[in-house]
Order: sequence, then structure tokens, then C-alpha cells
Amino acid sequence: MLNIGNVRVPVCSGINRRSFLQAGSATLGGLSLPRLMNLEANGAVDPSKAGIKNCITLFLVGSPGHVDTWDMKPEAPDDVRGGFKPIDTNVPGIQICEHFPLMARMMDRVALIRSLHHKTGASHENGQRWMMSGHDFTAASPQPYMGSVVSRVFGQKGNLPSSVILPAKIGNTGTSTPHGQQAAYVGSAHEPFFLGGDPAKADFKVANLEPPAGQSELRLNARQQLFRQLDDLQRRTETSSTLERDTAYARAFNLLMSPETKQSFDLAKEDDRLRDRYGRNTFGQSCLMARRLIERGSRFVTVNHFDTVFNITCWDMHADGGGLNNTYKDYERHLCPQFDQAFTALIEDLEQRGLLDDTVVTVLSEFGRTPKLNGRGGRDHYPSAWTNFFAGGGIKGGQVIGSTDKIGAAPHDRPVLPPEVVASVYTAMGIDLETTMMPGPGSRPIRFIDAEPIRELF
Amino acid sequence: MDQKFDGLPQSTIRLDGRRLVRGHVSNDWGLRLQWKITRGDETVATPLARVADQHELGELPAGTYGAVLQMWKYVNYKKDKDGEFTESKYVDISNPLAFEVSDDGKFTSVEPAVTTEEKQPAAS
Repeated sequence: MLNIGNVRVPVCSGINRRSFLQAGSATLGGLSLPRLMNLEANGAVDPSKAGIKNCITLFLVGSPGHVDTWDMKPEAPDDVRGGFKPIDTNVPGIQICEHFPLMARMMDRVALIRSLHHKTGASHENGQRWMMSGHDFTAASPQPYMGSVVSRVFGQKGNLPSSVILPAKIGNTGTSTPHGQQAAYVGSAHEPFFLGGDPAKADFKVANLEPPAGQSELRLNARQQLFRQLDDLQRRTETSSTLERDTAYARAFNLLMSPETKQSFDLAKEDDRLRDRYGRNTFGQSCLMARRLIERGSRFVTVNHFDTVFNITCWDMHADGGGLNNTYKDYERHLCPQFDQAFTALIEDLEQRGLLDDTVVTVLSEFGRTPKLNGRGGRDHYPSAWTNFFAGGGIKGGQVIGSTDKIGAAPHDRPVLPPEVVASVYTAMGIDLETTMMPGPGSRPIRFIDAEPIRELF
Repeated sequence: MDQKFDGLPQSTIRLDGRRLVRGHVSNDWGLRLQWKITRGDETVATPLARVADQHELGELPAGTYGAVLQMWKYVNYKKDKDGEFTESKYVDISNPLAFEVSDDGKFTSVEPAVTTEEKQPAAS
């Protein structure tokens, strides 16, 4: 059997008419893939019954030093070991940084991958492209972000966008190359919805859900009616791109007009103590919003922990004395506590609501940081080794996959590449990578990713 | 998007035998939470207060001590040449406590003569 999205298509014998039409839509050009989406809308395919899990990705933009956090080297020389100490966790034999005391109590739910690496350059953007799409690529031939792929293949469950990125787009991280959070060839209708605001602020509103200045809801309704009247005319000359735009407009109107949607983004509906538990800061409240969105129908939510690395407290600890001046003190006072609080709140909250088994939680970053401290006591970019991790979604927690050498300079065993992480995300979501295809460039069915998932996770 | 931390976290603390006990932290910014234990103008210890809502003081030399709950307050990124923040700092988020440790190791609460908040400028 072959699946296109969640439609099972026999490949050896017994091809039925519906399967033929649906396969044909992708392979023969008789029906465009947007038409497949219309079939879905007409009930031929029910994405809500796809049975795939959801995913929340916490993307630590700037990248924590692996030796300072989840792959500590207490026996290493002073200029490697750094300023922090390891602590025991609730899994015998697994230690993490002393500044993650809450996470240490739930290590049985976490699978650390300590042997990640890539070899295509040490820019933030390189790593962002790898970890968000599973590919390195150029602006001229972009590859789609995981959330866009999931949105494209499995569609929306309701009015909420399938793929959401909180709180904001990644901005300037050094070069003007792609960050890997774009729909690319899967189509503009599957661009992630960017919140574009700080949910920790008391006066927070979703900028992208507010009618444009000077336009009331009545005017939007009138505009929508006009849009519908034009729709028939448009369909006579439709192409895949006009259909896609049609879908995007419809989704935009639904987002703008739906009270349910607005409520999904309204953190004031949450209990104050729970908001405190996540941490009253941009990252913590974004994690809480991610849970609300998953609970209400979004499939893939990424929280960017920071949207730049310049002139801001973030993980990019060069200690350069200028605009990249983060140090150990920032990790100790700000970054580690903030992450520890929000991550553990998210896991607990998902678990208490019965959502953890159906929600894959990944914590990703672009790279690690140099094992040896630089002259100012910071650490620089280091794609040759780092640690990321998975929780939830039924993955096997309480384990460490792979290891690095004595100073954290290179994978020692079980090296893992970024595409394997992305393949693992898809697999953990319940997508069978052997039999499920996605629309590639020109709507040609292709594999989600040419990599094997990390089997130890499952 | 730089982070802004609105309002002020608040909690209450008390002495229970040899333990410091804290209540819920409202408006919790989620940054480092620590006990600040002082003796005179000297900071004796700043243990983490995040995981547990109490801290065992253990054996202390006789004398008068102060305790308060603090959280890191990130105001902005401004730092000096040594990488230390110039405006961001730890702030007190609880009532101050004062207690005496007698020669025989007994702990007794006393009225704090001066709050830790008032002491900070003199100490810095």
C-alpha cells in the first residue's frame, strides 16, 4: 500500500477508482493536488481521522552549549568543563546541568540525543534550515518546513491553522539566508501562521488576527461576500495557484472572523497559577499558547526561543563584549531557569490533560558550542556535536542516544544527523515514512525525507 | 523582540524551625529564584528556591540573620565591559525575615530591623 496523505493507495493490485483518482491527482496531472484538498473538503478524505499525532517544537535559537547543559563533562580540563556542575536526574546514570532542576525530575520522559552533528557550516541559518526542514538548501531552491509539510498533507482540523510559529519569525541571526521556516514548494497556503506578538504582555493582541486599521468586522463580512461572488468566475479559469490562493483567503477570513480562533489565542482564559507555572515571559507564555493551540486543532506548533541573537539575552554565548555578549551568568540567571520552568510546565500540563501521548515535544537547536572556552569565557558556534531531545508522543524516555568524546568535540558513538531527527519527528507523529508520500516540486509525490528515523526512540 | 517582564513577582516567606518556607510565587517571571540569606551586610548563601518550597538552614553559627526570596529581573541587555548587567539585577519578591541563632543552636524569629530591600544600596 501507498499513502498520499492519509489515503491508502494499493500499489500492486486492486486499485479502486477513488484511489486511482487520488493517486492520479498527484501523479498524472489529471487532478491537481489542490483538487485533492477540495476532495478532502467534500468529505472524500477526512483529515481529522488521519490519526497522526501533533508536534510542539521548542527551537532554542542561538543554541545552548551542549557541554554546559545536557552533555556535561565534569572530568574534562577547566577550559572545557565550564562553570556549571552536573546533577543527578530521576533516571540513574543520566546527569544534566544543575540549572535544570525541574527537568532533572522528569528525565524519565525525555530521550536525549547527544551525538547530533552536521558538516555544512557554522552559521545559525545553516543549522536552522537543517533542523526545521531536514535539508540544507539555498534561497533559490528552498525546502519546506516540517509544519508546512504536515499542514499540506494532513490539512486543518478546524479553523485554526495547522502550522503555527510563536511568538515571531526568526529575524537577523547573521546572514541573509533562509531560516527554514517556510512552506516552499508545498504552497503558500501552508505557510506557518506567525503570531507576531508577545503573549506575555498584558495588552497582548494577535496582530495577525486584528482587522486591518480602519476595517470593521462588518466591512470584512462585506468583503467576504464579494469574494464569494467572484469565486465562481475565478473557478472557471482556475489553476493550481489560484486555487491555493482561494484556500489561503478562505483560511484568512476564517481566522479573522472566528471567535473560537480568537479564544484559542487568549491566555487570559487560563488559570493564573498555570500561567505562573509556565513563567510570565515571552517563551513561557508561548509554550502555554502552543498547548492551547494543539488542544484546539493545530497540528504543528513551533516556539522560537528568541528571534534574533543580537543585543539580546539568548543562548548565543560568545561573551564578545559587544552585541553577542551572553555569558554563563545569563545561562544561570535567565536562560536555563526560563527553559526549565516552561519545558517542564508544558510536559506536565500536556500529561495532566491527557495530551502527552498524542503530542510529540522536541527541543531543537542549530548546533552546539565550542568545547573549549574562548578567550573571554564564552563559547562559539560548533556544528560538530550537540544535544537535542524528544519527549511525549509515546517515545521511549529515560534514555540517552549517542555520546560524544571526552571533551564533547565529536560524536563518540551512534552519530546522528539532522535529517534523522526530522525523520524521527514525522515517525513519532505516526507518519509511516515507507508508505506515505508528500507532494514534491510540481506536485510529484516524494518521500517526506530521505533519512531513517532514530529507531531507539520508538 | 526583547523580553519585557511586567509587574512584580510576589510571595511570602516564614521561618518554620530551621527551615525557610515560601508560598506560591504569583506573577512568576520564571527566572532564577533564590533565597538570599544574610548576616549583617554579608550575603551568606543564595541557594536555589525553585524546586522546593522550603530550604533547610542546617547548622549556622550564632548570630542574627536575614532572609528574603529574590528573583532575577531582566530589564535590558545593557552590560559593562566585564559583561555584568548595569540595569538588570536581583530584586526582592517577598517579605523580609529576620531570625536569631542562639549559642545552643536554637532558631527564633525576630522583627527585621531593616528590610533587605533597604540594605541593598548600601551593600552594592
